[in-house]
Amino acid sequence: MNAPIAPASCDFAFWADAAAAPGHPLHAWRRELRFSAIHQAHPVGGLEREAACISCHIANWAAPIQAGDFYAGRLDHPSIGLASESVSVGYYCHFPNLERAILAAGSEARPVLEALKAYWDLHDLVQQVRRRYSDAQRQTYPDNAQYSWGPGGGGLQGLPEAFIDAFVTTWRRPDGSADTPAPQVGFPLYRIAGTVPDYARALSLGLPGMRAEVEARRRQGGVDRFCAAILAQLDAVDALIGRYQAEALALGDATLAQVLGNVRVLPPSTLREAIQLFWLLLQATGTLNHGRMDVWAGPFLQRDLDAGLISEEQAVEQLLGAWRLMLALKNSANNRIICLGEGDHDRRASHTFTRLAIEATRRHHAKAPALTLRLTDDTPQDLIDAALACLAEGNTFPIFLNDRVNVDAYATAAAIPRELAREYFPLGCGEYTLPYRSMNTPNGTINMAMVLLAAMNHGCDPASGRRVGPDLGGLDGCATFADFWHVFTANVTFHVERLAEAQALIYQVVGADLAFPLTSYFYHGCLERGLGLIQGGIDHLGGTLEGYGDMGCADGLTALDQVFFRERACDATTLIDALRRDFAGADALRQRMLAAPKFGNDDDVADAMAARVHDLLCDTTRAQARRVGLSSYLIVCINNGYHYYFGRNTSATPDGRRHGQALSNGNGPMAGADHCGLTAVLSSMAKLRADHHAGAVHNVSVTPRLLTRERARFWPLVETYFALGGTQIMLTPVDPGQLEDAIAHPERHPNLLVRVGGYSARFVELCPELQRDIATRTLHGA
Amino acid sequence: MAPDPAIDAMGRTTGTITDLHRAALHDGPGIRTTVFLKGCPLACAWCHNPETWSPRPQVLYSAWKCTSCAGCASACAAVSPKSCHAVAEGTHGFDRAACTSCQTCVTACPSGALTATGRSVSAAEILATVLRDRRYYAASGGGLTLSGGEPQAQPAFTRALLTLAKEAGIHTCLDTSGHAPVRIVSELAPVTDLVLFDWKASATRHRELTGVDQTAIAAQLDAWLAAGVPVRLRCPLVPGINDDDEHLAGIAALSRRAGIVGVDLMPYHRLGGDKWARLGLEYPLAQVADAGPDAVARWRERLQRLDAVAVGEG
Ligand code: SF4
Ligand code: SF4
Repeated sequence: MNAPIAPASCDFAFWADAAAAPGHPLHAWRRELRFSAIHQAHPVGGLEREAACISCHIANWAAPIQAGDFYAGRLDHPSIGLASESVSVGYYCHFPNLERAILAAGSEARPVLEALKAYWDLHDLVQQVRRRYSDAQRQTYPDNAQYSWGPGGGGLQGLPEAFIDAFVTTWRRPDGSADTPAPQVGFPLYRIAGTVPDYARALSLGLPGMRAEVEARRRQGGVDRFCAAILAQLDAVDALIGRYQAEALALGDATLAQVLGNVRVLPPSTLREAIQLFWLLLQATGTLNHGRMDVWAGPFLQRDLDAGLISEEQAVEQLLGAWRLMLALKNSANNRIICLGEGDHDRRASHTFTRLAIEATRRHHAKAPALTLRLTDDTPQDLIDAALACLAEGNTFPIFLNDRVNVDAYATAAAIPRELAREYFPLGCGEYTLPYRSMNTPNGTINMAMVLLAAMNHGCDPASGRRVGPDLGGLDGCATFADFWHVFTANVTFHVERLAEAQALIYQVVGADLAFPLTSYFYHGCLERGLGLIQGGIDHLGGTLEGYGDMGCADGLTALDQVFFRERACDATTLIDALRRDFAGADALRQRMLAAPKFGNDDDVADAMAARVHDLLCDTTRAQARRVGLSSYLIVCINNGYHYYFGRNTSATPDGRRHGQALSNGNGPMAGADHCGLTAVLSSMAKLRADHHAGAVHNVSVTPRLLTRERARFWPLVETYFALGGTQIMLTPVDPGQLEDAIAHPERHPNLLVRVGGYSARFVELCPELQRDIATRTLHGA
Repeated sequence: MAPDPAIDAMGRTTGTITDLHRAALHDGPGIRTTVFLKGCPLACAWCHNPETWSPRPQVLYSAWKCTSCAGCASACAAVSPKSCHAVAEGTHGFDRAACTSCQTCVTACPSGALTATGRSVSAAEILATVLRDRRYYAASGGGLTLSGGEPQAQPAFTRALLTLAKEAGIHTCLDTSGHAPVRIVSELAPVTDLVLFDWKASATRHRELTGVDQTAIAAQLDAWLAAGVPVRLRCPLVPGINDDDEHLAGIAALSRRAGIVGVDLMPYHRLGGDKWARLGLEYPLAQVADAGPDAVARWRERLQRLDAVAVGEG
């Protein structure tokens, strides 16, 4: 007894049955065992296994209704399952949980859990991708352990926060101990992300209508297995509704039971039914972004209000109920709702919905959902004012997007007609996609600061000496800046090409095994073709590459041009050595590097270099689509914490940045490099082209007062920025907590501006006593 | 169009500034670019910008950043007969009187404890920067503001800046203490769209609190009003220091005067105290508490009883 069980011979179905009993030592793992049993019962794989597993996963993921819930649909991630994107991609296992359980297990449970671990080690998607890497890829991305939560990795961003917490705390450890990941130019993200179902169509059909449509297609022939898989997933939704109805009745909530009963058999007719069905479909597909909610939910809301079924106050309560479920997804990197924007939709309903959505967001006061407004020429001012008032209360939403630039820019970038581009939707971090038409998973990250260092130092990171890319030259072999630009370009091209290939490969490997039937059903083209969305079902299978530290990299190049090539301040060895030692003993050199022009000051020299780097990265990336067989492959300049993460292990850079300091964020200037005021920052940013990438974000910290009493002065700043070509702006109100944190950790807040008497000052530059003074003042809402 | 030689000459006029702020939102209407000119004849106890008093460049020292490395002492010794910096037993001393503001030590300081304030620029250079935000001014009704320091203490430079801005069709605003010869007004009035005029204390206590008499200032105010330039009164109020009945009555009376388009109360806060320390000066109001919303409400009430009109908060 208790000898290790070979995974193949461990009968998970047996253990799942046994674990169903409440006192059983494996009871906590009953869901995972049941799921594994189903997987095990389909050794051939394919659509049948997928359909059976997803049905099991839907039931496993759903948690009981809690008293006071407005909708059914609490969620609790099992440690093993199948998800399109909510956890990882495909069949996933959260190994740290499993390993902890093994350590804690008694003699009866342990061999079963060990067999479970061995079984899932074999069925890991990431390993399958990596087995098919080219030599160049394998050398460049030697291991992913540090970026993942299991053997072989799994990416970070798609994961629920609870899963990534442990990992985040390791890379944020301030003492730089052994857990700090090795320096890297970039890495692939193993996942499929960014699906947005066609909720408008789904809600107009209702569950019976969807079923009828799939069955009709099935009768036309040729796509039997695909349709069967969709229907199986719809069956799982039906079963889930049945379970929820019983739970609602047991809780004495007859209204909720009635809502569930209605959506089971009819298309929704009220806002509450619409949101309930939307949420059930979210549970069934695992999707994390919610599309143009003003368009798909707005008409229900407007009808309810017009018919006097609910008051506006009740409508806000209904939205808040949905917002709370979204927050409970624990995924603030996604959870996007878009309101407003171009398109042929019911304007009145859209505006009503937007107004109440802003009100719900104001009361919700939480980090999800990410309410985002697409501004057009005819956006009503009262909606903007409401949004600013919401922000002023310390919320970080709504975010503003500029349709006047973005629609045309995205049409050009993704090479799609304008009518399609106007449906653009920024995923969680800001990468544009077309809901239910295109896939643009971000499957790679590139650290431009490290690309620059690699170009200077023959492919090696100066501080660690570690090889991060091939030797394509170095600063010592360059007589002019033009020579060096050549080496830099070669480095950019090398890494972008490898990451583009990885992107295509991930789609291939995942697509070979998984169709995501129900998600695909909502995507245009899939049902007709009988193919999953990454199996050729959709017209636009694209990808995105997350760029980090672009502007700091550009400043580094400006400084090299000026200080190294023109002024000949030192030789290459001295400079690399200074970077290696984090400028120790090279203060004067660092001061010269720092004094070189910097992006963010409306400085023509620095901004021209920024545009040059931006164009190089965006164009090189865009050119990959054809080479690797994607419909588009575009850069996104986003702001999700990776600039901080990459910065931790990136050597000092020639812009004067110290080792470990965060990289520049989004498309914005290097923290602390801008010193001419907000119009200068915005003017610099507006000089960067928008028609060859898939989104760039910029975060501006403001005092709440600017958003309320002084908004008539402040808003023209944003409007003018948008008129000059700005794409997006996130306004972050400064809160006392942020100021307290800035006192304790000045290095994290180099850009925090506060108004001090007659002038604005960088908070961290002020003397400690004054900092405390301001923090107290802000606390009191002055 | 042939270049106008007079405009050309104005562009070459140089002056000394401490700073230029783009996207200033509190120095007149709309989004503005504010230029802070160095040099001021007053020395108000509550000054937020004491680094603008001296007309010359200066070195500021932030003790809380200093690591006592003595780098500045050796740097200065290399350029001056006797080093102005001395570090002994971990304490840093700075003989400002002997300093020539050559800034050698500023470059040498590794911790950012030494910074320079004041640089010489041409009016054309400043205008080039000001013009970059034209679209922002147009959208918000903003423009250029000259502040300081006392802009009228550099009359030729101030006139050049305002003229160039007006020529370019940009709204101009002059933030002044009014302590300057009346005759300058006639030169500046044609190129000034709005004056932000500081009204700081009662006639009785003016010299005590600001270092100068009110007479000349009152005469300037009359001159601006006579010239037909709209004036906003800016009134820094410090609880228990200058908020006496006589001063409030004076403000109320002025608020009703034709040509005065509004009054901004500027409630005192200690946030400028930091800069006094950097200049090695003792901050006279260190013990005075900030004026909170209650104090502002009381001032408003008193002003209302005195029939003041158009009182806002700056
Ligand atoms: S500015 Fe020049 S003279 Fe003054 S302290 Fe520094 S080095 Fe000495
Ligand atoms: S060089 Fe800077 S840090 Fe060193 S003693 Fe002088 S002021 Fe202090």
